[in-house]
Amino acid sequence: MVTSEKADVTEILHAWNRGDPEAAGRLMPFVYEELRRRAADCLRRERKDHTLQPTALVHEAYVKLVGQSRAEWKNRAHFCSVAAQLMRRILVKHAETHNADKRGGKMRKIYLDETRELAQERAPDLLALDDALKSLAVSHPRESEIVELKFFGGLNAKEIGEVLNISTKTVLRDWQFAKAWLNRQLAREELYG
Amino acid sequence: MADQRTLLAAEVFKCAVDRPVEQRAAFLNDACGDDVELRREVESLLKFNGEGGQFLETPAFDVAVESLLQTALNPDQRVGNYKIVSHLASGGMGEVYLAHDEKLNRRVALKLVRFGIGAEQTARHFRREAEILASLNHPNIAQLYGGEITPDGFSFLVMEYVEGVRIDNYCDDNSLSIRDRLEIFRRVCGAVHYAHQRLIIHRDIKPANILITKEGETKLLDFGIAKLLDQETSVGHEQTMTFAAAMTPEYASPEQIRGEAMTTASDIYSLGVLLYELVTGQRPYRIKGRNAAEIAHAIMEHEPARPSTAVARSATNSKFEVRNSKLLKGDLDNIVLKAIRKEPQRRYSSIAQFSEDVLRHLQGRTVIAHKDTIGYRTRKFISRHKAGVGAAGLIALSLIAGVVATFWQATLARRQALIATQERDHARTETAKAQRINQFLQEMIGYSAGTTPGSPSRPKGRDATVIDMLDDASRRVETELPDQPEVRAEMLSTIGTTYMVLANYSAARRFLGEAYDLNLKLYGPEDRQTATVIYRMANLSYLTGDYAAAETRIRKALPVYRREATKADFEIWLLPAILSDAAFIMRSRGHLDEAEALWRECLSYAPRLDAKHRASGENPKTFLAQLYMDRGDVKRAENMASEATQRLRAQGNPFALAQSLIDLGNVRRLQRRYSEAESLIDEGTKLFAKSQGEDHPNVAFGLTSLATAHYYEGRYDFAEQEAQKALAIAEKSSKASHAYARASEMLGRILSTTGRAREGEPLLREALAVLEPRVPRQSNPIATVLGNLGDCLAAQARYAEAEPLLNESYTILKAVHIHESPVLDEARQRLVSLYEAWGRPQEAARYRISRRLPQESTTR
Repeated sequence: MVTSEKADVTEILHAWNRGDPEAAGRLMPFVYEELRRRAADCLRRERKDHTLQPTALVHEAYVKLVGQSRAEWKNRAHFCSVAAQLMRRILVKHAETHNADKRGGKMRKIYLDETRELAQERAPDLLALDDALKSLAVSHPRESEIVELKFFGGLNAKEIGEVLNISTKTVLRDWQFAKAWLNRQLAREELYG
Repeated sequence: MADQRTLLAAEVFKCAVDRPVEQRAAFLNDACGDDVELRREVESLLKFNGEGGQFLETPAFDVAVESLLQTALNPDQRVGNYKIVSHLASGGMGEVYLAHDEKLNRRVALKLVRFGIGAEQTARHFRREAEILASLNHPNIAQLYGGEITPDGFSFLVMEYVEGVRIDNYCDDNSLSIRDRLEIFRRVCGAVHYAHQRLIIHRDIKPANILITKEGETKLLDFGIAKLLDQETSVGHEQTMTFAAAMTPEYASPEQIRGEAMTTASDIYSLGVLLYELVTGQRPYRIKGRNAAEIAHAIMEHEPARPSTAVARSATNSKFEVRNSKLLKGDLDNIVLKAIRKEPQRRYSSIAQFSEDVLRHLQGRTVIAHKDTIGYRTRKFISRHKAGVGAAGLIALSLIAGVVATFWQATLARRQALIATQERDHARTETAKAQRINQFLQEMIGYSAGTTPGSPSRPKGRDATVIDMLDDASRRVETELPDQPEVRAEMLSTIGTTYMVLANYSAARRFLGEAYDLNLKLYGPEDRQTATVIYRMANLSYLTGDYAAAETRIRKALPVYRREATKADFEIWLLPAILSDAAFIMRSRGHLDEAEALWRECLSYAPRLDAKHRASGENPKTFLAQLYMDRGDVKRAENMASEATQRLRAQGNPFALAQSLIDLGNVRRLQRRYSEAESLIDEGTKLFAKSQGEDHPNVAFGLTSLATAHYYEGRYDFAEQEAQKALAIAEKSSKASHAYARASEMLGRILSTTGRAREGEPLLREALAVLEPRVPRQSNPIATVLGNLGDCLAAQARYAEAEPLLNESYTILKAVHIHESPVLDEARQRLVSLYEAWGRPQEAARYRISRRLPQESTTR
């Protein structure tokens, strides 16, 4: 069971690497399962805040899913890049499924909770963000990729610099620009969209 | 494809953010030159730089997890009997949905509590807690209908659907005045108090959990949910920290943050923070970060700013113009700060007390909250609560403590009134009181019998008596508090006192004794807490007839109290209550001067009492009137009694008024103003009957007084009638009661006087037998009954038997009286009659002569 699951995942990742556009959809259940497990942990409060390190996230998920097959990847940079793209695809797709329900019903907030308000301050709507990121990629492709690697891929500035072969300082400046740009973009959408 | 300007703008932005803020304008002037559009673009981006702080810093995976949490159920999906209508909100502990209850056809809110079914035990815990919470039934508490677990693994709570606005937003949106805010706050208190009486603690009081509906109704949400969702009953420190952090830490009490047992005091704290926020628009602690650890540190270590100071500091904030520093200064500052003190035991003792103080402020009366004096009690209660105590056990104990403390204070005044009826009727009132208290406590805490886990010896079901509860508590104190001597001392004292109130004197003696030893070791003999235990032990000695021990003890406690009373945090009404108890003890020991002085001292505190205690502040007048009468000081007795009567009439306190009317009537009788006497006594008796019931022993007292007045007037038939009635009523309560003794004595006397001395004798002997063990020999009642019995024997020509009785009666009265009085007169006259009838004229002459020597009667 476990082995076949692993094999499936490896196969899907290879397919994705070969350019199969359906691969992300096939990987979805696995990531989804992981999400559910995390959510359940979260509700049971088994999760400590520090166990979800941003940088470790994707690595953790992929190492778990792919296991040894990681060695087959051309290089680390390529792996990270693919992983981040894949994660973006999956998470956005997941958001599409779920936000559909959410947008359908009338939202009436009666139980407001500060903790959640805070969370929303730093947790943008993934769909809106994906759209904004696409726009960013048109004029500023490198900045857009940095966001993808960091936000979806969970890489830190140094790792991103290695993947893209640029200096850490450049990564940080680009990141700062991208954040401002996306922030403004999302604010505009909220206002006019 | 991006145009040149867009790319250039990005480069200019990146260079600009590298520079200090103050240099940016100059840099932009250089970089953009005349290109207005470029400049506008860069400035627009700079405006969004750093906005939103954590924006994009949370990994997408976590965001996805969050969104999954938010939307676990879809509209039209069915869960049990419920059809989901829409997603309402995300609580700190789960998702909330609006759903339709298809069985009962009503709208409900479903709170999904976790995925999957937990262990069997968890499910049981969940169901049981939900059942308990569902029993909360209050208009200001959002009703919990129940908890359910579906086969497909959803566990959820079904709750009343409430649509409303958060309390803080409501107050601000409607620009409510401080007064209106306080009124709303008191409604919240009412709901919390209701739950506390049922041993349920909210644990998560905060503005987000208090809504005001369209109709203006206040609704508390999520009562006790925090505990329900907390599957591990033995919560470890770390877990609680996470928990506190998961909830809104700003409203958590220091003890909650430490992971210690939460009590009603924790809710009081959270309500205090809420009140702080409602009147100032700010939280008590100015915390820079949102980091849970920082908040926790501030809550545990920082002293909050006084609300008035906080408002004054932010005077520029026009949003809260309603918040006026002057309005807050003083009372409100003190009230709020008392509620949020770090040490639970220094907060209000109950929500009721807190709410009452707010009311007092609203009514312009003196509040009980005082300014915190620096350096007072550095010993921290909190450190005593370290792990090792079952949380539930401690809650049960602290709740009993709260209940008993409140009740004890309430009964102090009432008990005085009972004793005021001249300690008569001791046994009966004690039993009745015990029953009443038992019932009272049971109503308040009986419910908890089913809710206190981890107590093996606890009887099942809801019929556990308070005694069971208490026995259980006392066993816990033995085993569960070995490392917490301070808590233990407090609990021992509480338990001992409760036993005393319940008239289980041997248990009371044991626990108070242990409490005393421990207090002595912890605080020394001069401490207020030690004095409290000694005071209670004095009461116990008094109640059990050990007057000498009572005297020794009260003499030890009094100086400590007198000293403590000068301190700001002393509740001043307590002092007169204690002094009055001391006066009774002194009187029982024959120290009548001291008793008088103590009661006079009590009266000196009357002007400082608030409305609630003012009525009992008049009690010493009644006691003094009786004391003066017993001592033959008719003039002063008259002054006291008529003054008390006037005051009490104005106050509309039927019980105390009845007592003082009868006292005044007795004075009038001594003054031979019989018709006045009779109408006063009659009025008092009727008041007793009305306020306490026709068959109450106090009615018997009244009737006996009436019979006495008729007797002295010479209307023996009327006297006999009333005395018969009194006896019949007193008999219903108990033959071994003071009321019975008095009625019996009066009837016996009437019979002797009207030629039926042989019939009267057994009645008089019975009266003596009842009184002898209950009152000191050297007292008016004993002297009177001895005199009457002697007279009765003399009437049967049994002179030798009568002589010692009449002699003793006269000796006692002489000792007790400071003035000549009709009572002394009568005692001498009896001796004269005796010796004349006996044929010993010389001795008769001695008493006749002495009558002309008023000096003799002042011998004491």
